[in-house]
Amino acid sequence: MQLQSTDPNLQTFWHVCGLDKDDERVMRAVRGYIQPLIPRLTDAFYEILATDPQTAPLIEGRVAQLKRTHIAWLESLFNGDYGAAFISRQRQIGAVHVRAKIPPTFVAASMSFLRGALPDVLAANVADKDGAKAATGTLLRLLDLCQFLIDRSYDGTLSDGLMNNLGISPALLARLQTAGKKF
Amino acid sequence: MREDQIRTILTDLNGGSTDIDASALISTDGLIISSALSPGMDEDRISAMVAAMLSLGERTAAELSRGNLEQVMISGAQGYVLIIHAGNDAVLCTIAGKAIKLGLLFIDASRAAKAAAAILT
Repeated sequence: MQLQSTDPNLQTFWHVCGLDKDDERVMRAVRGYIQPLIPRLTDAFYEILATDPQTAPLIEGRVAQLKRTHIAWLESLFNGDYGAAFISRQRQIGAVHVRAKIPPTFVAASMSFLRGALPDVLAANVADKDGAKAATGTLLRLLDLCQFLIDRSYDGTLSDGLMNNLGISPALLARLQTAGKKF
Repeated sequence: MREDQIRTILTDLNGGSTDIDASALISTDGLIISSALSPGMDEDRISAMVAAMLSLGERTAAELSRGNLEQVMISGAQGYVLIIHAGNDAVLCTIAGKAIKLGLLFIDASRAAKAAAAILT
C-alpha cells in the first residue's frame, strides 16, 4: 500500500505508523466477522453520547442519520482500501465537523471509545486468533490515521480564527506558541 | 551601529525618570530588536506578548471605529506598561512604576519611538 500524497506531515505519519499492503489483507480477512457487529457498536457509542451534557445537544434530533454515517465510516475501516479516496474522506469528515462546530474533544473521545471497544470485539468474534491480533494492530493504526487527518481540519480553522480576531500575523502566532518554552 | 543607537535611545528613556523601570523595542512579529529590561524579565515572552497586545489593540480600535491606534496602556497596581508603534515595523514597550507622571511618560516614550523609527527606516 503506497501513500499517494505530497503532504510531508502525512508522509511522515504513514512512514512511522507503518501501514502497508499487508494491513489491507489483514482487514479484509476479518471484515466478514466484524461487519454484522458494527451497528450494535454504533448503538452503544450513541447511547454514551446521549448521556453526556456536551455531546447530547450535538446529536439531538439526528441520531438515526448520524448512526448511518458512523456505520458507513466504521465499515470503511475494514474495507482494506486505504488509498487516496480513504484519506480524502477523513479530511471531508474533518471539514464537516469544523463546519458543524463539533469540538475536537468529540473526535478524540470517539476514537478513544473505539480503541477501547474494537480490540475486544475482534478478539471475541474472529476465529483466527492471530488474525484478530494482527487486525487489532492495523485497526489502531487506522484510527490514529483518521484522527490525525480529521484533527488537522481544526488546526487551520482555529489558528485562522485566532489570528483574524487578534489581528496577529502567522509569524507572531508562532512566536506566541513558542515564546518562553524551554525545550 | 544601529543596535548601539537604539540601545542608547532605550537607556536614555529609562534614565529620563526614576519611575521608568524598563523598555524594549520589538518587531511587530514579536522579535526583540533591543531591550533595556530589568533582571528577571523574560525578554522572549515580553516581546511576543507586547506585539500581540499591539495587534489586538489595533484590531479593537478598527473594529470599534476608533481610528488608527495610538497606544495601548496597561495599568496595574504596581505601575504601567505603555505600548506604542515605532514606525510600521516596530513597537516600543515602556514599563513604569505607579508614581510616574503619565504626561511625562507619554512624551518621553513618543519621542523615543520616533527616534527609533527614524533609525529603523
